[in-house]
Amino acid sequence: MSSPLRNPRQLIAVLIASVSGLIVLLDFVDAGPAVAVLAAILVQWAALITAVAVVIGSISVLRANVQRVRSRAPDAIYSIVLIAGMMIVIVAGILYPTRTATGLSLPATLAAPPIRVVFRQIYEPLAASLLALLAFFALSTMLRALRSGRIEAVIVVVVALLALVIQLPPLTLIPLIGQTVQWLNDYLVAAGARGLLLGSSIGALVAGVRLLIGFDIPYADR
Amino acid sequence: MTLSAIFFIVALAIVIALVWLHHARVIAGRLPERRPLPALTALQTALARSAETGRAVHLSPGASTIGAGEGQRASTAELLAGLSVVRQASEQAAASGSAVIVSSADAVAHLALRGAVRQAYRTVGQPQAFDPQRIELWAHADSMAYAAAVAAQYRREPLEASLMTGAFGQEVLLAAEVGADLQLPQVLGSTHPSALAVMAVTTPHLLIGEEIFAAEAYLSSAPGPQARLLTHDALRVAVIWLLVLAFGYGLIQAVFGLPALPGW
Repeated sequence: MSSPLRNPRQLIAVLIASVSGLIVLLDFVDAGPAVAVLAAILVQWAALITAVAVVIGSISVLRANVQRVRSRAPDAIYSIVLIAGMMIVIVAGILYPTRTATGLSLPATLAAPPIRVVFRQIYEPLAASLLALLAFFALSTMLRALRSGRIEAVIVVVVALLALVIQLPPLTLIPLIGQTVQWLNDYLVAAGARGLLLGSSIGALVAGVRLLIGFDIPYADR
Repeated sequence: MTLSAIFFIVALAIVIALVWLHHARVIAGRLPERRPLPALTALQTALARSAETGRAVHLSPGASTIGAGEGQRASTAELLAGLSVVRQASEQAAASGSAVIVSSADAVAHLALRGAVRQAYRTVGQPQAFDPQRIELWAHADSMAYAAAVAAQYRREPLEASLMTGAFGQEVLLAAEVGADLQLPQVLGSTHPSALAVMAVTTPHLLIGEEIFAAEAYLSSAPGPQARLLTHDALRVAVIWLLVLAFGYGLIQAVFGLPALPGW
């Protein structure tokens, strides 16, 4: 790996990334109005880059699926559905004119009528169905875990079942059950979750600082 | 400037000093001692097996997006950790001639992945083996749709193994359960408790919480990841000591009538 100090192209990339990161970071601690303005501009640029990335990503998805259809892949029907869905969303969200008080106008936001209808009638029911499927998947996973006899898996399943059972309405009426569940949630569960969060936060902090000071440059084209 | 802002800047300066110190230590050859992570051994075995069987290994940096905004769960760091792991796995795949299929759930991450994987192939001197069509965007800002796409891929193409480390929620079960049903070796990792619960039930190869940040150091001997691991360990020990000291102070504070710690 070459050092950024010996490679002017990398050095410029590191400087841009570090200074941008530092400005946005300083904005979090109220470092003054000038920093706030600069940070807001940088965040706007990032949003613009994200939008361009979405367009490039959409073209990539379209190209991959058109290729599948053209090569008559066995599951090409799904690609046809995807391409059709993509076209419907693009037309409904950008190109479909609606009648307003001042005449015909194109949708201004994703909350405008044509695209909103597509989301309400197609996307939301599909997303809800997938979410509902999780219950059946969980059941299947639980049975497989019990059959496998793997100790960690069995512990997770037994604890999950216990947690479900003791929260049933008749059991919560029994003295001590409610307090015990509350105690477990407040101390054991919260301690575990906080331990996990602390470890992950330290990892994120170190990764972020190394990026900020240019020790890690995953964005550089070496 | 508020007290918390000053505290933040001081803490940041200490972390930067530690990062610098550990980077110098690793450059001087003082590498960290590591406990084994069996999940990554399973990944390396799968990559080696893939070169013989010709079946691809699926690699994913997680279902999150870069730059989570207000109200969203911040998961950029997990995504960057996932990207690093994918890059190292791609490098090993390129070196051994294994096939990979790389997927993402974010348009920006997709572009970053293309660069990272291409870089991995160039690093080991195999740029001609890089196939950009094997890096696919399967969803954008919708983790549920991404999990469904991974499940569909499991059914569509016989795979050697699947690596999914990064930010996932409970929806990862949609993919992990299909993988388990197909007896596909899966290396899964997340920092989210609800994802970890379902991952623990579906695969024995699990990276828990901070292990996804440490994974790169296990897959690469480069100084950067090793130094990051050293700093991570040092900060974790410091935080544990702070917690123990605060707990001890909390015990004696009531007895001796000492002032309470702020926010305690």
